[in-house]
Amino acid sequence: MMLRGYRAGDLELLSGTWLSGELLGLPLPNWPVLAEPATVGPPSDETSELCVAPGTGFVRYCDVDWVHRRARLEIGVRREAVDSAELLISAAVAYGFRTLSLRRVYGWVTPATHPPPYLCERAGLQREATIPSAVWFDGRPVPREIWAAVRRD
Amino acid sequence: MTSTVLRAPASRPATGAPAWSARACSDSDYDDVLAFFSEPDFFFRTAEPDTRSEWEIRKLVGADTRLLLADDEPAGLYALEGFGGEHGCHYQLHLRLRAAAPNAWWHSAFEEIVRALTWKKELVRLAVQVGEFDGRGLAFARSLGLTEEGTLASVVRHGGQRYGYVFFARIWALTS
Amino acid sequence: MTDLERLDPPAAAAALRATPDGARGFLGVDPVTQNDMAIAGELTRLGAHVFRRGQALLGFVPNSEQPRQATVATTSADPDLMTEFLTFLGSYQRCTSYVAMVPSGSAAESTFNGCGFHRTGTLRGHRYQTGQYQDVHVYFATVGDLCRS
Repeated sequence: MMLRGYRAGDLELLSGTWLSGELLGLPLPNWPVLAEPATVGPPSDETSELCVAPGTGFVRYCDVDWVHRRARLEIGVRREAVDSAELLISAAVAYGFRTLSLRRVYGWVTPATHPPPYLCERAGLQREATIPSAVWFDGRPVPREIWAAVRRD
Repeated sequence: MTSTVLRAPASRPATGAPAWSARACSDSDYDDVLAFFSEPDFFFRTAEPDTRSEWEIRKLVGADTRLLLADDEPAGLYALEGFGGEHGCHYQLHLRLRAAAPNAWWHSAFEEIVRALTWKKELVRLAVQVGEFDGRGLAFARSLGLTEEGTLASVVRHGGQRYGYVFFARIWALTS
Repeated sequence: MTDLERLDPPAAAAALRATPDGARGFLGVDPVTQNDMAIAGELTRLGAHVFRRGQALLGFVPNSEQPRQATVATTSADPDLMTEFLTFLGSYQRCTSYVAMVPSGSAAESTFNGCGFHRTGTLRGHRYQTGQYQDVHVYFATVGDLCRS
């Protein structure tokens, strides 16, 4: 899966009908007709690192901390490309470790969105924590899990 | 800034309500917006819509307002304003459909607006204010079964007389 | 809780720096590796609110995805002080649940254990301090858990 730098023409990859902030930004069913899609701002400064996979989606590293060598990872996948989600996550983890030289990448997974099973495990992530009532989703507060991959040095 | 069109992926509701979609008002939408305000009863944040000038309409519409489209045709405007701190979850709804829209569309639009809001945020109280002169708005609010909380009397002039604003609200049970 | 003094970000940064050791990891900041401007900037970016009571500093960050929840932090080892602070948050922010991210081995662990929080996970190697990577434990409590403690 090839990641490349963002260009203005990639803007439509940055919005979609997924839960904002999710590690696995996969399009959700039953999205209300008047609910605005989740949107990630185009990169404009050093506070986040964003790459796109053309035709598939984007990967974004937020809260990058160079002292603790960690970042929170989000991906967003287009509806037509959901089968490539696993490749995108693996590419994102690899880029974080190899190119950004991070030691740890983590992200939020909301079980109520029913993400495909084993997607995170196959990309090398492990569930580390569960926080009840962490996000409001479809009329109620639901738990969120923190998943992470740590580079073995 | 490009406006994003929000749209349901698939099927049309069975009840005869239109397929709703919405977008932030862009410059190319203003002809439709100005046409709405030329209707004498398009009471969207104003008691005198058909005599408002263009700058005033732009100000009334603002960044929080969305153009409502029924089957991709402009049908009205709505805006949700938050009141108080985030943790209070109180909102006020401004909603207006054009005169040609059937009454059933108002209910359907209200349900979709509430559904979209509660998808991402908790809603504890939703308030609607309707002028006493606004027959259509009052009929809509009463038919929804909103609690009629009271009338702030004689605060606005319309058609040569003083009228008040009627306050309606619905409160949802706390879930968190 | 009438003797709670609210500190703006620059004052909070100075107060954290003046607190020996207890402030490392407070809402994720570290007065040893970050200067006052960096700490104040981070607190502002998070939307954090920091208070002082006596010698202790207490802070919370509202959860923007679920306003009824807040992440909390303290520099004090006193569980009763935290319980009072959480009661204050319950009244003024309508909080019904609380999260704390506590570096492993820090004094705050006993604080949160002592007022009814339970550990719901561990973030491996989440912080670097004193020459090595440390785990950060995730603690959680609902308002009901606090009453029972």
